[in-house]
Amino acid sequence: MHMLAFPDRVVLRAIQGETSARSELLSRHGALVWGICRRLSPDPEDDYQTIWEKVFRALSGFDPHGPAQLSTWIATIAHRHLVDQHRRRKVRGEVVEVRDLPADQEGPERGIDAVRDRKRLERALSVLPEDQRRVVVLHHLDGVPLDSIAATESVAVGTVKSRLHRGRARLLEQLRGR
Amino acid sequence: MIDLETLSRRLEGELSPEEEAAIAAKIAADPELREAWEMMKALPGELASLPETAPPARLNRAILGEKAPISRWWLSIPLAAAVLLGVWGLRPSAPEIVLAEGSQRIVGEVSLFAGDRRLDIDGDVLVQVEPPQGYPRGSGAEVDMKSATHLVSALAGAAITITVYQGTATVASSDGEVVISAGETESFGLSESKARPELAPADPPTQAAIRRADPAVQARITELEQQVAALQFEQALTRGQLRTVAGEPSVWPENLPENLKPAGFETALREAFSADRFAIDEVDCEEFPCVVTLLSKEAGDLAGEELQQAIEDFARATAGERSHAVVMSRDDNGQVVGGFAIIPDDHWSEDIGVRARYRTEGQLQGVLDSEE
Repeated sequence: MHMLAFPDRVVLRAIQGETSARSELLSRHGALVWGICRRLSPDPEDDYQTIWEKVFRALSGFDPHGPAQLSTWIATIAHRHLVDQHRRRKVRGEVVEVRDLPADQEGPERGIDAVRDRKRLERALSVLPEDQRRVVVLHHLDGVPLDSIAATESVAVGTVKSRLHRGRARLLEQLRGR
Repeated sequence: MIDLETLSRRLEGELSPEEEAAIAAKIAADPELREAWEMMKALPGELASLPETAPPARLNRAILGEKAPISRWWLSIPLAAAVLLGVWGLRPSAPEIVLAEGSQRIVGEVSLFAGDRRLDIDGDVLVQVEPPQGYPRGSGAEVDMKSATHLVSALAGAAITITVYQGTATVASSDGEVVISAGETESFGLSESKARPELAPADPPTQAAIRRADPAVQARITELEQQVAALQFEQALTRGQLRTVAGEPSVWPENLPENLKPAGFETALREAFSADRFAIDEVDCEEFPCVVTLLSKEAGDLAGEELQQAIEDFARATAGERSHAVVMSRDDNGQVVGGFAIIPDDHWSEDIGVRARYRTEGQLQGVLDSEE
């Protein structure tokens, strides 16, 4: 059977600036962007608003017939914004917040149960170094391919893989409590 | 010691046949490693199933401009286009504001004259006034301000358009009061031949957009922000609050373990960072805790991460799992300069943290200044 793909009318209406269509996009994809911001940004509320501002401004450049899904396209804009912010902070030499290294025993769960403890997993995620956390969150939670992450970060795919391996190793280290 | 990174690489199928055979044999022989491998295999699935939460609704409302603060709009409207005049001397219950010409977005509960009509707003409303022919345009100065009645009278016959975004607007008219609700637009005093004033834009600009669109506004905002920062600094000086930023010098506690006292710490530090990736630039043990600056010897994407990892490993080794590391770094084209101080949990306090941060920042800045 041959299927015809029609562009999402909500996207077309949002491109034309229709507030109700933009509201619909926020409903559909707001949680995705918010998840990225709250896990990766030191100022999630500000970045959430700025990212959507960028999304709406760039929306006319989104090709509804193209290969990229809208959610992936939005995640890429969010990613690029957060990388820019991260670089600015590093160049300014900003103080990285005082880190409380986690306690050695967080709960009774051991082994595989520790991985399945969502609160514990979120907490372990939150203390990963920012570069590693970005790769883990975008790749595992939002399904962004490693080569796309590398392109947005302007680094080699090998560097991104290295960050992923280090990030996953540190996550497990935290979860194992050793 | 279990190499978890190797397990991660195994998960991606990145190991060579030799590495794969070696790790498979180890996993078969070591229950602890087997458990770690099971955890590693489960990790991607568990991460992917972490629930997403919706953002606070107020953020989406702000993005859509549904509750734009009035200050944004005051910035966005050319001053000449909106003439807001204070009118004094009316009876106490009468409005004290007259919108004589142009457009104004008004948020809140307020009463005013729009042209010659009394308007009571409770919500978020755009008011547009086109004064009648013969009204002295551009400024209210020509109007006899001694008599408010003259001003309102001079606006008799003005064309008024009111758009309500939220709440209500009540307009006094010859037929009584007209209540305009959210989503409605009403016009008064428009002749058939007169063009309808421009309606509200569908999507009010955000403050960031206004800044970008108008360099003059951007420059003015920057200037004001600098003035505010300077004033705050002066006030802080006056009140002696800068002492808080610098903190009080911290004395050395007596019951510290040897490896956190100056001599032991320096020995441990030089052992830990004897590898060829980082050079110890300075160690300041004048007061507790010691503050250290490090330089990466090589540039690269991973230098910053390696620095942070190395410092955290060192903190764990010297002060235990529950330690606090004040870490600061700067990345110049991949060349990383890092400063840190380590405080064990039983000696941690906010005051010591503030002081350690101040000293770390100062020492790091000193290194950067000497490089420049």
